[in-house]
This record gives sequence, structure tokens and C-alpha cells, in this order.
Amino acid sequence: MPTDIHEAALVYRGFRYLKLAVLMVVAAVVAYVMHAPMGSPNGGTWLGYTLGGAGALLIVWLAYFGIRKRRYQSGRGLLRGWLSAHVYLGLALIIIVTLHTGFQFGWNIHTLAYALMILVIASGIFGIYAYARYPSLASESSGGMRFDEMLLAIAEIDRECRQASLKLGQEINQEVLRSCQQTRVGGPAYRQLSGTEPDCPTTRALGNVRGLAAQVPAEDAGDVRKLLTLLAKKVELLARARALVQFRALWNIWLYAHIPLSFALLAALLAHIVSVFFYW
Amino acid sequence: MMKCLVAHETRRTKDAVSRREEEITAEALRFGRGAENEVYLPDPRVPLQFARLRRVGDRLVIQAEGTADLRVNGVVLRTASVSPGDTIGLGPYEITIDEPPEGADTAITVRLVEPLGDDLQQLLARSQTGLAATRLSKRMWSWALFLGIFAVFLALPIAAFFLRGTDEAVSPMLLEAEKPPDSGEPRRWLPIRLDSPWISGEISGPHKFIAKDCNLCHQKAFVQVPNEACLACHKDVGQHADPVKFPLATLVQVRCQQCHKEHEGPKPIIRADQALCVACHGDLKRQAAKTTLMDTADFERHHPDFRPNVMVDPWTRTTKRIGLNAQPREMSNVRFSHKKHLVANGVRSPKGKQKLGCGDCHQPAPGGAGMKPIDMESHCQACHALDFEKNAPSLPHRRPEAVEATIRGYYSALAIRGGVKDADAPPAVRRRAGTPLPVTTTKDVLAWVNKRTSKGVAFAFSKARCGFCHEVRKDGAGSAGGAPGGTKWRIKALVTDRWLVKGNFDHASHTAVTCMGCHKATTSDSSGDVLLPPLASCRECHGGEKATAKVPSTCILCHDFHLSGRGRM
Repeated sequence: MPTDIHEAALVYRGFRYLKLAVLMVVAAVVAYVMHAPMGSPNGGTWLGYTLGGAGALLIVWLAYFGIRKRRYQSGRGLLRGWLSAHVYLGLALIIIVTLHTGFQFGWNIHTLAYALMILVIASGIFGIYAYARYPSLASESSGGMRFDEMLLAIAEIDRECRQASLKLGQEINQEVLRSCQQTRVGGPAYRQLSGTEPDCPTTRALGNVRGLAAQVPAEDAGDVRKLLTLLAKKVELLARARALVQFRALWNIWLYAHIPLSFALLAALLAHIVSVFFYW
Repeated sequence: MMKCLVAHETRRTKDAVSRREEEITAEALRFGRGAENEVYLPDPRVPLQFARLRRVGDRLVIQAEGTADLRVNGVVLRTASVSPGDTIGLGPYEITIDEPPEGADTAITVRLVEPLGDDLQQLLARSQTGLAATRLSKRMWSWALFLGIFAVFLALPIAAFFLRGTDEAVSPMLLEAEKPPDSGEPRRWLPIRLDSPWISGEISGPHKFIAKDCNLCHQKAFVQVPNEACLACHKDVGQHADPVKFPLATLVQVRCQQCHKEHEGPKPIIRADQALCVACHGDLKRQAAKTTLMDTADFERHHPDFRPNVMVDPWTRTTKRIGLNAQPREMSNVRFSHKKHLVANGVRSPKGKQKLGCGDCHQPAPGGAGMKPIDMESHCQACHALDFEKNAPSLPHRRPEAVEATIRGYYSALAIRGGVKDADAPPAVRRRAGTPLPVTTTKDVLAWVNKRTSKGVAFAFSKARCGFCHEVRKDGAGSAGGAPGGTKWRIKALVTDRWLVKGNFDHASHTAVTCMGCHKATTSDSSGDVLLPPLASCRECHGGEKATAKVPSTCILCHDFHLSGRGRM
């Protein structure tokens, strides 16, 4: 039995909602093929209105999931059912609403609503992928360490670096100080998503200290070696922390498209329905 | 040598300060991060050797070493003479010169005033490790997109609809007459139409000229386009059937939109599917018991044979639709043999043998759909002369009254002129030409004119002239007392203009086919023959709606829905 709620949702009650979604899609396709409307197929025939009505109800109901999700008192089992329905019925919308359009597209509010719906579903599909893939990738790359433990270790290394470099020259101390004071994990969204930090002060310090090590007097060689070891360890810890930040960002970024686009879709859907009957 | 009391103050908490003192005896006090310094400043921001404090005479002098500067009482300097009460800034440290206690010649206090702080807290402060901490915002974008789309695509178009000026709701065509000259395009209070994103599809080609004015058709909110909107332009569109004789709901209570779907692209919005017609005409008796029309379902599989509307009695102008299988006869009262005129080696003519083709008589009417009527003067008279006497002018191919009047006029003119060489004529008629006609002879002259007219008319209407082609009767009323202007002779030649009154046939679109391919004229000896091709002949090329190897032909290829003569929609 999958323990993660998102995996559990996909197989919920023996794929109950997958079966429901397939049934709806097959019914819609059969009706579309059998239907011989006057002129060309479009949203204004009886089948067009039926498919459109079903699509609109589904969209509103699936959007309601967002509110539903916030009420945790409904219980994990119920939430799992909702998520399962959200995923499969959301995917079914692609077929149902495409048939509703009768493959008529243009530069208008109607196609805008359709395009927004496709974008919402596409971001949702990425969400399914993200929830299936990134948590396991994150736990693999973390090496059993929690994120706050990594940051604590980095802070500890900073302290040790300063200690080790106290007796060393000014240039080395400057590098160490920059590494301690300017290194960051994450940052703006694009930086978090990339998982890298070009020109990271710590990486630079490691390289520069390595270069300066040759000029250090023999009696300080031990300190320099210790400093280099510490910096190398810090670079490695930083890479892991950044990878973790990247996976967490990738895992969540789709929601930043999915939710605003859903609201855009609701507005476009409202405008689509009202305009069609306003200019009947 | 100087003996110095050095106090190190460390701030533990906000209010608690710990103080450690040491006594140092040295030539000078050296400050720096290096272990060799008398005053050790363990901070990475401090150089290995920072400064040196020594006694010069009875003065205390501080001097910077290396490249770092000092801040003496806030002033950046390299060297300075200091005394108790002065403060020297060395990087993050602050050194105060104190009054020396008993037994020492110098005293200072060293404080770390800018500590490095907690590494973890600083790392956390610099790092944003979740998307929630970034400038991305679900809530802001959700509201912005929702409100933006709501405003642009819903609120503004609705506002524009209710605020539109009356000058926007005019039709360029309908109000043409009432528009003042030079008024140009209707004024708008915005350069674009706010409802343009509502268009559900491209408007059909013929309606594009009104495409910019949605409210010409969409007149009221949430009300379907009314028939009146269409009929405002399409005033003369006819009913499909007489609404009094056939008051069918499917024909009377119908909206234009049910058949004519707009916004489906540039193609015409006329229904071409045969299902529309077959829905009723597949079993028309069930819809309209009184109908005389036959059922049909598909041109290739189920279509009644042609029933031409033939002339059955031209004297009473009676026509009747008779199926081709029932051998209909066109009783036109004209005798004509296509066969005799189309003989291979030609017909006799004043110019010798002349070979005739269909086009010598049958010429396309303007538009090319039908043929011009046959005209005696231009098509027949070159061979079939209408003379009735030598030297007399030819008779007109007109009504019998006109023919008789022409003959009477000819003889009257002869009599008035005189000099007629006719032994039976009275002397007045035979008198020398140009001499006055004596009044006393009028009666004799009139009798001669009447006699000759009646003889001439008998000849003209005989088989030798009119009767050669026409059915001639002599049972007319004539004129009262035989006065000039009337005649007892009657001719009624009525050729049916169109045999197939229910369907449209366009000769111009069939020019690839020869005339004889459809009309078997070379074997027709009688004008009673109805030279229509059978339906099978059409089916050689035309199939039903779903035909794949023939021209797919639905009902409206030949038949119109909106018919004339049955009232307006």
C-alpha cells in the first residue's frame, strides 16, 4: 500500500475515479461521433450545450477542491478521494471540453477560456509528476540529513573556518570572511529552481585559498590544510542544501501557475458563458 | 618599557558585561590578530598586525601598521597622539585610553563593538529557502488575473452594450436613406468595440459588411436574434409552402437561426444537407395530407421521375404535370418536326441546302440558365415566307386580327390608288391610277376590298401559310357586322416555358455535355414529344448526398427552399 497521500490518491478505491473519467470520456466521444448536427459541430448544438455544461460544472467542482483542501477536518481518507477525483476528472476535461469546442478556435474569450483550462491541466499534470518524483529525489540527495541540520552544519563550519584562519594572512582571512558573510542557500525563485549559485563565495574562497596556500609559511601549513578541508566540506554541504531547495521549489512551483491560472479560468469561464447567452 | 593595564570587556547579554584584566610590560603594545601581539584581537576582520601604541616622552602615540587606518575619536588617521578619554577604533574593536591606576603608566579598555553575530541566524537571514519567501505570490496573481479577465472580457463589454450611443446601432444599409449626406461612418466613443472578444466565430462572407455592428442582430441582452433582425434586410424571402393551406409548425413557427447558423466561418450559411428536406419530404402525406408532391429521400436512391408540366389544352391554357413514364404530350398547337429540320444533309432554303444545328434556333438567355424563346421572324421566316400575294408585303407574325388588318389595308390602298389589273374588279378600281375616286362608287369598291380580303385571309390561314405550322380555327366572334379590325380566325400557340417548374436547371453549367446527349431531337417527328431526358440521364453524373464516385447532389442543388408566390416569411 502506498503511504504517501498523493500516490494513494491515484489508486484510490481501485481506480474508482479513473473508471468514472474513462466512462465520461467514452460517452462524450461516442455521442460526438454519432451526433450529426446542422452545419458543423460547435458549442451551440444540444450536444455542445451538454458537453459545455458538464465541463463547466466539473471545472467549478474541481476548483472547489482548492477550498476543500484547506479544511483538514474532513479527514485524510476523504481528502484522498477528493484528490483522486480532482486528478482523473481534471484529465477527462481535456476530451470533454475539446469536443465541446467542435474544434472551432479563434481569437476570442471562448478560446481564451479553453486555452486557460489546458494550461491549468498542463500545470496539474506537472504537479502529478512533481509529487511523484521530487520527494523521493529530495530524500535521495539529502543523504539522510534534514535541511535545518545542513544549515546548522554549515554555520558550524563557518565558525571553525574563522578559527582556523585567525593566524593566517590577510588575503586568506578576507576570503574566509566573504565565505561566511555572503554565502547563501536559495534566493529568488529562479535561483531556487536552478539549484545552483554561480560565483558562490565559498567555492571562490576554496579556489583562492588553495592558490594562496603555497605562499603560507611552513608553520601555518597545518591551519591552511584544515581550512581547505573545512571549505571543501562546506561546498559539498551547500550543493546538497541547494539541491534540496531546488527539489522543494520544483515540487511546489506548479502551484504558482495552477492556482492563479485556475482563477483566471474561472473568470474566463464566467465571461464565456455570460457572453454566449448575452449575445444569444 | 611601559607597564600597561589592559582590560577586555565582552558583552554577554544586553546588560551584562564581563571584564578581564591583564598587566602587560613591553616596549610597545602591538594590536592585531597575530598571536605575537601584546593585545590579541581574535577576529577575522582584523589584520595580523594592526597598530602599535608606545610612549614617546610623556606622550602616548598610536600608529597604524600595514595598510589599515585608525579612527581616533571618529577621525581617520595613520598616527595620533592620544591621552586618557580618547577612543581609538580598530576595525570592529574600540579601544579607550583610561587614567592609569597606581603602579601602571598606561591603562586601556578593549571592547568588541561589532561582533560577527550568530552564523546560523545570518545564513538564514541571507537565504530564501522556500518559494513562499520569494516574490512569487499565488494570491496576488490569482486576484490580478481573475479581476483583469473579468473586467476586460465581461464587465467592459456589458457596460459598452448598455452605454452605447444611438448612433452606433444604425445599419449602414437600412438607414442609408435617412442618413444625412457626408455623415460617414457612425461615430463611436471608443476606437475599438469592447464586445469584439465575444465573437464566437468568423461571420459568413455575405454578412461581413455588417460584421462590425454586433447589435444589428444581437439587439437585446439574453434574447435570441429575432427573425425581424433578418427580415429587415431579407424582406422578400418567400415561404416554403402556402401558410394558409399548409399551416405546419415546422414551417410557420420557426426562427431563421434554426437553419441559418452564423459565426461558422466564411462559408455560406445556407443549409445544404438533405436530411432537412427528407425530414418532411420522406413522408410528406403525414405532414400535409393535401399535398400532391411525391416523396423523396435521396437523389440517387429515391427520387420521383420527372413530371413535366405540359400544355394539355392551349385553347383553355390548361397545363398538367404528367410523369415521363406516362408519355406526356405537349399540346402546343404548333406543328414542328425536329427530325425534319435536323436531317444530316441539310434542309432546302432560298440559299440552297442548309445544315441546321440546335444553336441555330435555341440560344441561351442572359445568365445562361435557360434558352431564349424561338422567334418566327429570326428563326423560321427565312424559309417559311408569309407572303399572300405577289408584290404584296409579307404578313406580320402576329395575332390573326393584325394579319387580317394587314391584308385589308393592302387591298384598300390598291382600290384607293386605282389601276388594278383585275377583270372582276369594279371600274372604279380599274380606273387610271392616280385619278380621283368617284364618291358614287364607294359601295362597289368596298365590296371588292371585302371580297379580296376574305380570299387573301383564307389563303393566309390555310395550310399553305399559317396553317402549315399552326392549328387554326375559324370559330371566332369576328367583329360586329364584319367591320374592319376583327377576324373569325383563331390561332393559339402556347409552348410551355418550363416543363420542370419545381426544379432549377442551369444549361450554362452543363456546357460540357452535348445537347443531343440529353435531348433526343433527331428522332422526334412531332412537336408533341417532350424532349426531356429521363432522371436516369441525370444520375449518370449526379449521385446522392453521400455519393463518392459521382457529383454529390443534395436537394438544394436543384430545388429552392424559399419559394416565390407563397407569401413572405
